[in-house]
Amino acid sequence: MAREGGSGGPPGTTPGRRPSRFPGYDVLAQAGAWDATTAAVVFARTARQPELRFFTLAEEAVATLLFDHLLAQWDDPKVPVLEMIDARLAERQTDGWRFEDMPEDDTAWRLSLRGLDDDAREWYDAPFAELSPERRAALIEAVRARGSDRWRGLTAGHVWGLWTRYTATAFYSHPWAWNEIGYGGPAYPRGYMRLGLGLREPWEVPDTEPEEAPPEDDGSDDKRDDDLPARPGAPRTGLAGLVRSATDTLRQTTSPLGRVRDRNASAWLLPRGDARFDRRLVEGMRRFDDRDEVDLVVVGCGAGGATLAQRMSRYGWSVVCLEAGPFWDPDSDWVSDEAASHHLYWNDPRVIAGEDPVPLGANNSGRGVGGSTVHFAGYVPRFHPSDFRTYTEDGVGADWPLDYADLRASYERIEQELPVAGQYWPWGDPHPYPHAPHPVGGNGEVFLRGAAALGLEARVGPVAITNGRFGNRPHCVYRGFCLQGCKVNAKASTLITHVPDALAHGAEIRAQCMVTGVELDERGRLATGVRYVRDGRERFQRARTVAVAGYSIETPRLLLNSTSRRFPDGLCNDHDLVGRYVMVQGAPQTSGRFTQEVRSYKAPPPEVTSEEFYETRSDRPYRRGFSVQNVSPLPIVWAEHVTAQGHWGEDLRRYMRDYVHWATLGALCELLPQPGNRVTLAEEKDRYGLPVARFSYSQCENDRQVIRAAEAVMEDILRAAGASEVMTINRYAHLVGGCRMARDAAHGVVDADLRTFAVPNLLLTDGSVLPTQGSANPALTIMALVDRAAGRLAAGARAGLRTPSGDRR
Amino acid sequence: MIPRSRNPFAPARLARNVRHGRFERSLSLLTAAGSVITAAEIYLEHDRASFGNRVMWWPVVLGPVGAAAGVAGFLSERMARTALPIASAAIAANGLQGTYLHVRGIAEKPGGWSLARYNIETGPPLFAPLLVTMVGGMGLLAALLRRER
Repeated sequence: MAREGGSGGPPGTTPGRRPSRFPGYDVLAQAGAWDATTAAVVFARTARQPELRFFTLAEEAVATLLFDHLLAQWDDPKVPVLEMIDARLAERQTDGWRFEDMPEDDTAWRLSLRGLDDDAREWYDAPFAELSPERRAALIEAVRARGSDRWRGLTAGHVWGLWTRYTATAFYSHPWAWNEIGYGGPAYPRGYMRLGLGLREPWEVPDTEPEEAPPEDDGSDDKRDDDLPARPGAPRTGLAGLVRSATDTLRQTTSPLGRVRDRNASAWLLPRGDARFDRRLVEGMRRFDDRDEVDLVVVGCGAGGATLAQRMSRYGWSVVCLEAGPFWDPDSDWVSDEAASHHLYWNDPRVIAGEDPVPLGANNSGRGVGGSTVHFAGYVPRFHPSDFRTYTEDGVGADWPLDYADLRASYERIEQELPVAGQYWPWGDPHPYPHAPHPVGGNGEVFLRGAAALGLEARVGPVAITNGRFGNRPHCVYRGFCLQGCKVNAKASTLITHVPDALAHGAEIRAQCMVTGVELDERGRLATGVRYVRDGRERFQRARTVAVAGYSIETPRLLLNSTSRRFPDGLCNDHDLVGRYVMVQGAPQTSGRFTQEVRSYKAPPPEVTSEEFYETRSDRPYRRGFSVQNVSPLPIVWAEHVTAQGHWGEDLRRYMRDYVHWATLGALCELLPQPGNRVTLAEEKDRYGLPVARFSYSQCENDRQVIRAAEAVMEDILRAAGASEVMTINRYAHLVGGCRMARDAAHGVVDADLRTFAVPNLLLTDGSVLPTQGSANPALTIMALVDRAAGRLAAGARAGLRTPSGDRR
Repeated sequence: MIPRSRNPFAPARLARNVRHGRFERSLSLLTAAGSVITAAEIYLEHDRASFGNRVMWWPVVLGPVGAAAGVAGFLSERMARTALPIASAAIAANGLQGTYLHVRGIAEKPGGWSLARYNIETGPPLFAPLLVTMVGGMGLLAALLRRER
């Protein structure tokens, strides 16, 4: 019974034709300002849905009612959630990862729907579909209330997450739901121009009930006695500091851009017109034969891999970069839409385990040329000098085999190439940015206001988004879809910041190639190339040097899967270090409700930061610290926030209608590296026949304390800014470590030049080499490490074997 | 009626001078002030756009040049006939160049002229460079005037 969605319905249709808080608002009326790819994706949702392919008749009977309950959808026209979820499962558009105690999503759906029906028969002696609405709701609530207990052979909390994730994604991807919550919808090529609290585009409709306080205030008014930590040694600059920041900034804006161009001409190799990538660069790309022994083969084309490929091809090396995903065309492959950007993540099967399993996907994986920089927020703070010696200074974590000073020049080079926009940075090693800070949206304004009220230093930036022209890249249009791939070319991704220059200098970027193993010579001393699968056939690319840049899960997995007589436990794993010390940042997010409209979907999602709590402080019980940034969830992520609080049904809809009034802050908490947090190989195999990665993660007591402190600070900031209600959810962000660098082979897998101790012509050039993670987003540091390593590699090229030169640090 | 004041900028005399096309010195000074003010505003606006094209420094640098030429023209008749028109012509031309660059910037925003209203409002200011040309025009005009008596 495929429900007819109608052809978009009359203007301003809302689900169930409920009276709207945004009277007359019709997001589809703006479709003329959308690009064709995005419009097609959105209009497909209001068109007739395909027949069911996944759910059986029995499952359909339960699922239909379950979805109606979860979303309180009782009246026509209904968002066709059943059909949308069915299509997703039939086409296996799943996230790939699964909890160790759960089956894959499609099986979990079947089991949980049957479980609900079994519950109904057991409790009320009737099938679920024949119960009264009250009884059905009671059964659903019973599953939610079980939390982490087992239910029908599954973990109830994970079932609840599965149900709410799929239903909220389907429902809040629909333009009728956008009408109901006043959300602006797609924003390309037209972006936004009125940023800030209480401001609306000419076509946006004001909320008629701005004062409506969501009912059922669950007593969250209990002010935490855990008050704000004493003000740390804030970066008091004084006159000398002001002069220094002014002259440093002036030096950035007056230095000739030719210097950047001479180093990396990517921004000038992009087309000037409406196309975002010059296809001639791809079509005219130099192509190597598998039998050619290239100077360097790079595995993975993300932040680390693309940077290395660009640098080494500039140095005259013959380079092949193998990428498992596609070679993106931003115009046709990316959309201004949350739900339809799923293909940007690594969705191959993975198993997550441990006491605090880390879900994978949007904020810690990537796929295709550009890797996760395609959909990262572009937030690129530097690490602090203290990050490089946490063991010496704080007795936790590890010391790096290099100092901040070794990376400073690389940081500066990469910041100019991205380029980075932001205010003069007072924390860590104070430094200017090449581009001016962006104007802040409503969410950033809330943060600045709250920080000012508390006397906290907060600054705008640093974000790798052009604020002005850069080469042929245009100015940002503040469309807010940074996490869905920038269709403007304003936000940096290595696809546009390093790949064009690499191609122009003779590198080959070979997309759709999944590397399955690194091969060594007969004695197991040197790497000879990599095995990879393309079009279903295994091939072998010969190379004199191999660099693996697959990030913290795939790099260890590839090494562990590359066994030989010399390395029976996995390549470079003599000391059982491969896959260990994987780190994620604790990233709790706190939202606050404001009477003014925030409309956080405009402007870059993170814009404002405070690093006041970054380092260890004597007045706190924990070591290391956290940074606070604003984050700006789009409707589907916002729905995850709301459902994580246990809200569903009518309650969920009520909170969602309030979307434009909420501002959200997110912390990045430095969680400590632990040997037990590791990637190993699971029993199950993927479509290439290789064992998939199993990622186990558990927090330690220090981690929990840092996260709690960050939550308290964020709630204080939002309340100081005037929030009437706050809610906090826990999540994780980023992923580093797994093949840490160290001074010697007993403590790490690679040295400071990113060369493995075990195989001299094998490098690891990605985030997996980080020994600690700081409270900064890791992309810039990954690229800076690779920039430095590339220089060392090139300098050593004439020293016989192609290895980094000079004294081993 | 011969004005008593020997000061050429006394109100009555000034008005008479202007009516007879004798205001080279005052317009030179006005050109100098206009150059400085526009250059300061342009610095702020262009800094906001990160001097993404280093050409964006030109109008900022031409500001002090116009100011110097204007003051020189105020002080010396010879300068008013040489330095001032040269500097003013450069400023006027730079304004036209800026107009071209701003129009191109608007056209290269996503959607280009098909989103004309949005792109003009959010892009580089369309008419601002012509104000620079106006300042240059003032200087050129000053060079042709008679000096105050």
